[in-house]
Amino acid sequence: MIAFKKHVLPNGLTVLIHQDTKTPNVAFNLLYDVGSKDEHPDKTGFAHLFEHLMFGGSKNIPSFDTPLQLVGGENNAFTSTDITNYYIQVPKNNLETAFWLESDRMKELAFSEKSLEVQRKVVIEEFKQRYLNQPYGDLYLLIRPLAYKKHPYSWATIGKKIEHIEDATMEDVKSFFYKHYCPNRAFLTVAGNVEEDEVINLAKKWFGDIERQSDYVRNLTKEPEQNEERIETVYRKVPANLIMKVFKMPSRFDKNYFAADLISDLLGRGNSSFLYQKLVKDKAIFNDINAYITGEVEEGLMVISAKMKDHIDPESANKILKECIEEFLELDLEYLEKKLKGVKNKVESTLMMNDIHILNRAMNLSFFEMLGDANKTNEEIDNYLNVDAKSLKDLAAKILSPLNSSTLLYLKEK
Amino acid sequence: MLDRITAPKYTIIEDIEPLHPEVFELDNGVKVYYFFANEQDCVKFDFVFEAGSYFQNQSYVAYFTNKLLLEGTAKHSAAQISEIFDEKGAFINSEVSKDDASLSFFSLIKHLDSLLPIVTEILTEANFDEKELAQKIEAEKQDFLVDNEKVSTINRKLFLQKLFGNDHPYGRFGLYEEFDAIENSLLKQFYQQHYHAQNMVIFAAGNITKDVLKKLNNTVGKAWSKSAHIELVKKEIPFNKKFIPEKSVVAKEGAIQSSIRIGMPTFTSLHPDFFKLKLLNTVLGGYFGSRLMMNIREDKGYTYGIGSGLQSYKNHGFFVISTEVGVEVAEDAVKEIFFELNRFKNETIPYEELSLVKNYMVGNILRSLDGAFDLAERFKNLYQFGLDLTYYKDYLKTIKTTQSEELKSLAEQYFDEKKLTTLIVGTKE
Repeated sequence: MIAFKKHVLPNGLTVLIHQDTKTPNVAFNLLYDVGSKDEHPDKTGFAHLFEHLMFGGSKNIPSFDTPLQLVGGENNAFTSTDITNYYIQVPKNNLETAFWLESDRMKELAFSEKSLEVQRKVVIEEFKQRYLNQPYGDLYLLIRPLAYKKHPYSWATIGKKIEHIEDATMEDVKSFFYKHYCPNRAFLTVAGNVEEDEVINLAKKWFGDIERQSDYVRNLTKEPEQNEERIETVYRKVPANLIMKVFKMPSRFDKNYFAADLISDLLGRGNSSFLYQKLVKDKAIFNDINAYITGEVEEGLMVISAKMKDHIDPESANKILKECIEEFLELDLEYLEKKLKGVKNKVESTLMMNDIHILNRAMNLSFFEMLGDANKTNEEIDNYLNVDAKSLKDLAAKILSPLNSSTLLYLKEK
Repeated sequence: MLDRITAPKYTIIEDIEPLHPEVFELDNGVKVYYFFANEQDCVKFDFVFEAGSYFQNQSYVAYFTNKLLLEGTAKHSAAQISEIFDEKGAFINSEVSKDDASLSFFSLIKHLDSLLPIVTEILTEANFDEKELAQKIEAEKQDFLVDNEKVSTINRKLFLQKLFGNDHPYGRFGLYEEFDAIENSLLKQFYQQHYHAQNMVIFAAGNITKDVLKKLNNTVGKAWSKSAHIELVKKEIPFNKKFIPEKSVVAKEGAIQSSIRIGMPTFTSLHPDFFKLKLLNTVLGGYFGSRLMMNIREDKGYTYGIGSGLQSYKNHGFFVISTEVGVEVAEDAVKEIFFELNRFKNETIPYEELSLVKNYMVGNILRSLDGAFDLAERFKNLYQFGLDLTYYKDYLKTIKTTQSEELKSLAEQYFDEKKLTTLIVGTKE
């Protein structure tokens, strides 16, 4: 149970306060409702590049990191297909510094040419280090455009290609800022040994004079229904063949989201999962197999990923995997009910583990408020516990249909 | 009119009083060090053994002994074990390092009655089934090949070999061919010698009530009590190979980034210079605003990240600067790294910069001691050195009192180009 209080400033900034008297640190989490899904298909990688630029200095404060380090604080940020999330951790006494810093860069970024030049290079190095220079690094750069033909989920946060980042101009960057980085698109959570009044006063003081921008109407290109089995083969310098099979799944707002999550757990979370026991242990065609969901807000993906043993050819591996999925769809309700208890227990443990750290609580509150109601975080456990075997089985038949699947065979070069 | 230019007032704590764990001794003599927190109804136990690769006579023995713990006991198969833990939503993991091996267990309190007996069984009756071992070896071999495609992995292994020599466990890494020499008889022997009550300590956090301790004592506390006293296998492995600093460049086909490591062997956390060198190191490359980051990432854009650190194993330690840069700029990056190192010998660190780093480090200490689970983790890592959390009090004090002049002398001693080895893996073709 995460208790919190909520306020909305006149300019639209949502402020959430969660009190925890046992910690000497405060978590200050600012989430902007903008992700790579809001990019133009010819200018991808922007939300992430922009996240980097946010550290290049704001109008009144030339360096974001230095004043924070001076007060013993730490910060970082991440971008996903859905959101851009900035977080600061400071000792309680220095909370105001977090407000000063974060509000100044929301109000006006410095937009220096030097900063754009450097961060462009840094992001290109990141592209290389994480996606191109690692074995299997470009998996998501390949699977996304296979699964999505029109929807902006078709590209990864890092961008479709390096060239988009190389060609980004200062004008592009400025217009992105004014469109998306405004108080009415932001969700601030302050968690720690703080009082409601204290936080609201600081919020009004520092964020109060920032003007709201026009409400952004999110009009994402709809993905047409799939109705066809898709498969692609690529060759890379890797020592082992890998198969990745993805299925479109319900959005975060859909009541079936939780059942879908549990389907992926039953299939491939942990060594007692269905696919692991059948295909790693019994049939021994894979060295490892995992199933999970991308956890996206719109209609995201359920992913099955497996590394093939040397003796199996890719076509057979795919065939056997498909047969195994069919087997899963035929499991009787009694067996499913038993297994369901187990995965629900795992979810309960995981949610409890997540609540241990104050920063996670703050992130969750911001995220769920962005979805419509921060209290949803407290409803998560019940949403999972209420999933019944029958609905789950019916949903699985829809999601795990081959006509809803996109398969990537990622094979070693001959 | 709101003044946005002037920074708000701030304070930095002067001192800390770290908490100490409670201690409970089980019937078989095993000590449990724990930190209590009842916000959530769960517990985490770390069962730690002196059973790391330091103690093996052959590659991978310590590793597979540890990994096979969860792959079957006399009474339960691997599949059954997974099922039991998964069904109760509990997490159980095994981990091995150079010095230690451990089993980590996280569970809701309500499931302890059904799970602690299985945990005990895993600790005492693992059976090292041949079929399970064969599958594990095959999977590991594949992971080995994948991992060794990465320039950073190749670099890390070679680098440690240069520091400690191929004869010493700290410098030795198993070869691909050595996987096939693993047999379950070797693992069983290692298990007998190293996984028992005299060689184990338990670290714990969570809602550890008297009742929980009783449950632990009735299960794990009764393990091994009937076996004869086992002689502890203590080893003192000398560091024979003389460390020779040099520059090496290793090609890697198709690499678009180079992995760079520069460093040397130093000492463990018990050394009198340890805290001061950590302070100096932080200025160099221990935080985002460090000299290395500001130059090589923020100014030149050569890399996504660069850092430096001091690593302490139980019997030795080392200093290392590490980064991955575009292949075209690898030599330039090395030049800049040495430029930054030399600055510390020629200039004293300005007062403002040093204060900032000190404040940042104090904030870091506060963040690493936040709550029972953090405390248990920190304590666990200090235990092998005979230290407790007073370490952080002493650390903080040293941070506060050390001045620039002293750091300059330290730099003259440790940031000496002639004493540091340089390794670049991945070159432009």
